[in-house]
Amino acid sequence: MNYRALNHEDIEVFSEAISAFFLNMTHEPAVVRTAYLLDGTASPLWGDFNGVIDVSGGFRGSITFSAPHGMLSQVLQAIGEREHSVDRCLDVVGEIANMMSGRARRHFGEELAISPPSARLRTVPPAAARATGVPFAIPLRWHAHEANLVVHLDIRR
Amino acid sequence: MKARLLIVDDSMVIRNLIARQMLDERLPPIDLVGLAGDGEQALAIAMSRKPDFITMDLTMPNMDGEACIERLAEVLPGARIMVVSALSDKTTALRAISKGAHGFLHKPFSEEQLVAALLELMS
Amino acid sequence: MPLLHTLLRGKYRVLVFAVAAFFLVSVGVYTLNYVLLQSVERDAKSINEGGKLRGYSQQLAKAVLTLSHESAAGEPVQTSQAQISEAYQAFDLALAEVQAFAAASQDGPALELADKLDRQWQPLRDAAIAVLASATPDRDAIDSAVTLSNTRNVRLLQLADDLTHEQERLAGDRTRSMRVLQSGAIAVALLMFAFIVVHVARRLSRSDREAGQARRETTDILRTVREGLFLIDRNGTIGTQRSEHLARVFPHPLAPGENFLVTLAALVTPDTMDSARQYIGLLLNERVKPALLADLNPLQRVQLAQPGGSRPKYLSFSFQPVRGDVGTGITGMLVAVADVSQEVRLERELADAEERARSEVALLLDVLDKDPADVRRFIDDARAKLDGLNAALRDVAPDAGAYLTTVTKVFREVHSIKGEAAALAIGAVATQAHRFEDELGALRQRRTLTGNDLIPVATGIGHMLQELAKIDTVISRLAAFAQPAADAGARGSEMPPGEDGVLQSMQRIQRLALAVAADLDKKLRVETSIPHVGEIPEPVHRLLREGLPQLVRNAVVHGIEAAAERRRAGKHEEGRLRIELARSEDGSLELSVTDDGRGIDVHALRRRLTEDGHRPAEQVAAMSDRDVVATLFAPGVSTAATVSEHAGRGMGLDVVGALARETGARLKLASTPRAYTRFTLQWSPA
Repeated sequence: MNYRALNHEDIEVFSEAISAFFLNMTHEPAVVRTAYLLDGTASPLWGDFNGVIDVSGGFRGSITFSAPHGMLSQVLQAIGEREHSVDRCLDVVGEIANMMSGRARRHFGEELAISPPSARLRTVPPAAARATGVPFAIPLRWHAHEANLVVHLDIRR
Repeated sequence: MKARLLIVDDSMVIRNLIARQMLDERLPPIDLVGLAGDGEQALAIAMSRKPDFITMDLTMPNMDGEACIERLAEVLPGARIMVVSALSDKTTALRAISKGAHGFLHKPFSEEQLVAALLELMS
Repeated sequence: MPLLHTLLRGKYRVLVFAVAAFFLVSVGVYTLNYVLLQSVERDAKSINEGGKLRGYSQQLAKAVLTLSHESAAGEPVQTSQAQISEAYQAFDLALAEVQAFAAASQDGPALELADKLDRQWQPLRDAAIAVLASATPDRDAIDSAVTLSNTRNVRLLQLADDLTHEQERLAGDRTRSMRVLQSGAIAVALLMFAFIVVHVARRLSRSDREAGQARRETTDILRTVREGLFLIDRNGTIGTQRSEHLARVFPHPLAPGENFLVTLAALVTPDTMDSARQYIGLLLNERVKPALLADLNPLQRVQLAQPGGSRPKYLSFSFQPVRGDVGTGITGMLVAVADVSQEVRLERELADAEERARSEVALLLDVLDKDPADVRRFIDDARAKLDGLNAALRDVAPDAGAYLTTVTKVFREVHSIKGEAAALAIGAVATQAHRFEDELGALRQRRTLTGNDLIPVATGIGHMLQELAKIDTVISRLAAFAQPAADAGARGSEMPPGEDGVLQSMQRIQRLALAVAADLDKKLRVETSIPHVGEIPEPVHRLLREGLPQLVRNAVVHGIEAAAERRRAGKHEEGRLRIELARSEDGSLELSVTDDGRGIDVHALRRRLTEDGHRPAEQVAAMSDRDVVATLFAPGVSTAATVSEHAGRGMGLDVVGALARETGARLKLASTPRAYTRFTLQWSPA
């Protein structure tokens, strides 16, 4: 099976979904700090809270949004939530994953099959990678916090 | 006569976010009749509390939004339903509308977009 | 009622009035006819009365005479008396009638005649009455009656005749005038009728003409429009009118009366068809707001199932609800079909072309004739560079200045990879690097860079790495083939690169120079001079590998002029490029690249420095020529006006500058405008 390398558009779909979430929900944009390739030696980026979508159907891999607890409680505060419990934080990363999947469907077309978004704690280890290509990491800054978007995706030609 | 609204979303954060927006002065007075986290809850609340307007997520556990809209069209045909979803492909939207949705709002949405969509729904 | 209203207000108004008037005039004509008939009848009667007067007058005269004879003969006179009585009464009645007619006619002569008749009649009447007074009238009365009868009878007859004539004349007059009136009325009626006929005919012909015109225009539109247009009703039944273009676009005749949805179902996937039905259903649904359906058309670009292996056909359908008269709602849809296969095909072909350029076959051909060790070294170098860049990306600080520095660094390294790839003639990598450079170049033009801008940088590095990985695979495969032979020959690639290697790389450089010149439509002769130089240290090798391609490229792009320009300058059309590697007596190694091109124009360089905003004008003015030339080796300066794959990015010489520093070489530049440029690198003996 032949897979193509990711184009920047394939990654921007996700980074823009996240930026849009922050801008719309908190009125403060999340800013992409940089983008780089995650080589095999680096430790996987898996944060306090992780929103994950798995894709298939002409695609293979996963997209993960990982954020530290401090960032999420500040987000909850910004949108007027009083309760900053673990459940609420999971809810936020789950919703971000949900929005990433919505955009992905629009960008990649109907043949993209997306798993229901899942929200996981740091203590639940990430599933083994299914894509074979090199993952891209996109650190995003919001207030003083840094979250990570990891796009690990094979796209069939 | 206050407009009666039911909010359906599996995310508590989103439910609260929409609920807080109800106080916006541009909107007519709104009576929040319930918050539901899935389709089954939504259906139960809708039958007992008879909302005029419903905001409806699509991807939810137990009963998804589409099935819920379909059932609501049977049991509460007067209610106007606005889909609030991150899914934005044509098929999903067409299906939701043909099942009886009256509006569509994409996630993520800004407060302005939410208020505008609600005004449109209530007009 | 509304019908009448429409008739009176609409275009038929004139016609309605004309018909009404015609009707009125006709009624008038009939009335006239009736009146005329009446009067003719009356006149006839009055004439008749006149005639009767004569008769009664005669009858009376005859009865008086008979009575006279009977009386004289002593016969009974009752019969005669009865006849006299009858006659005079009849005469009275007739006379009264005649007088009435005369009075009614108000005609002078007639009145006069009636009067005279009356005057003549009264004595006779009296005499007649006297005769009737007794059963045996006396002789005097009889004689007097006979005398009066004799004298007056003739007069009365005459008068009656006259009166009859007069009445006939009157009747004639009246009839004539009535006739004139009648003829007039009939004429008016005929005129009106004619008007109506003409008006209607004109109306008809005009509306025929208008309808004809409209039909022609509709036909013209339908024949000319570059879209397949047709109508369907709410059930999908196809209408009779369609644009001619439809037949060219749609692979099916779409006969009127057929169902469009049924036809379409055979041509698209069931999923698409489901969505299409839903979409059309919602469009027809008055309660669904059209705004809700904007952008949801599933047939915007749809591939049609084609019989046989013919080229795939892509159509774009758009649907516009059609409303009938006010209040009838949506009656159907106007469907517009366009063939977008061409666009789709072009997109695909472009993608395919790019694909082919990257294919492994091309790569294989690229590296087949290369020294695998060279390629391997190139790959390792390039990977190391890219890894370094990736680390720089990862650790970049979030500010625009740091972003620009990083992008510039990436640009420089990618440029150098491109140079090496081109020198090795690995087209796939060179092309990829060139494309990447384009993107990076655009980024460097931005005033402020953001983190988002680094996403294409990261994916670009990803693409380069992927390209390198492919080559790696190919040469590994080649190496696997070559291994047994190498083992047999006991001659490995581990041997340090010697003069053979230098000669080979000179040959490659020569090919590169000629390829660049051919690409730019320049004529070029390359001379290389490599006398026996002995062992070459690794730093010099590195410069030959990485720096020499840049120097040669720079000379061909910036130094050598186009053939026409050289002719004008009085030079030989063919530019000359000389590459020398020599060892001087003191043991130092010297590499020089000389071109007989346009030389370095210090003035132009100064201008460029200011215009590009690299430095403020005053600072440039204060710089010595030497300093100005030295900027050539700083990042981001070039004297070529346009960017090609080969140069003009202001990159290349800075790579050489950096390499010179790293390998400990002295870099010298000698140039005379319009004559030559020589770059020299000198390594002191170790």
